[in-house]
Amino acid sequence: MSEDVREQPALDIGSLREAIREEYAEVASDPHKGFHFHTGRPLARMLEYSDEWLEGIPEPSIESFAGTGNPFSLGELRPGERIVDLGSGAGIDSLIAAKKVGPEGRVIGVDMTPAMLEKARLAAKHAGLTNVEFREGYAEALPVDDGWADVVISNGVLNLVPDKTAALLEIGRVLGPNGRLQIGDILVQKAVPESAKRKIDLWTG
Amino acid sequence: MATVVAAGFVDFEITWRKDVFGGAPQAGSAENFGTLGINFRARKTTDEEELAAALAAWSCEISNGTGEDGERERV
Repeated sequence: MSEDVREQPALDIGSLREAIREEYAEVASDPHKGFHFHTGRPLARMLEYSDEWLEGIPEPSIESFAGTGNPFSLGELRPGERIVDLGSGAGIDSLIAAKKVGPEGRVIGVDMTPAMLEKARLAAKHAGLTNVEFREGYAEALPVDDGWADVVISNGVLNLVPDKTAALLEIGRVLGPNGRLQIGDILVQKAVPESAKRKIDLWTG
Repeated sequence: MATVVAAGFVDFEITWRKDVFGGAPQAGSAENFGTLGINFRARKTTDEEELAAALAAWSCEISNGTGEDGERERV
């Protein structure tokens, strides 16, 4: 009775991450191509981003915006606060946050797509914002010290994270006591069959 | 919500939901699953005591059958 009955992994995490990276590299390099989600300034308007927030944010950062909600509608970011932006993409939310927390505050954007990180860093430079930095990493292993952040924001990213429990525990690790979570994401109202969860093209499309 | 509470957060609240995929340039799977954009917030507990209380309250909700709101988190 030594039959090997180990189950196959439900999902190849490496392949999923690579597919997501490819998709969002395209959003970075060719934002007007047309995707299965809205992008850019029209999306920001749809999600009720105010013109004031977008003032001074470089256009390349706005055009690659691909959020699904509005983390800033969930509570004010106060001057001097420390913010982590999980899945910072081309940097729009990190840069808005950097403006809100001011020179005494600090923002760390984390993303796994090098093309997005490059775009975000350039945008921060062009915006003259020195209180924001972008680090490469995964939601399940944030490159941020324990208890560093007052607020974690994220927009349209958690749904793409393979291990959501690990990501939430990691968010809890980097937040200090009473730290706030302000997230834009998606909600699925119909049951997703287990077989569908293994299809990478459904995660990215 | 269960995942958020189990990870040590309280005061979970969905404040906004909207169809943010309709009319996108390419067809996707969002419509098939009734996918909406949402905003939600929560707060990390102050200390172990608050966390234990939150988990206990959540366990009671689950055992009383009041902890489900009929909606599902994304895949």
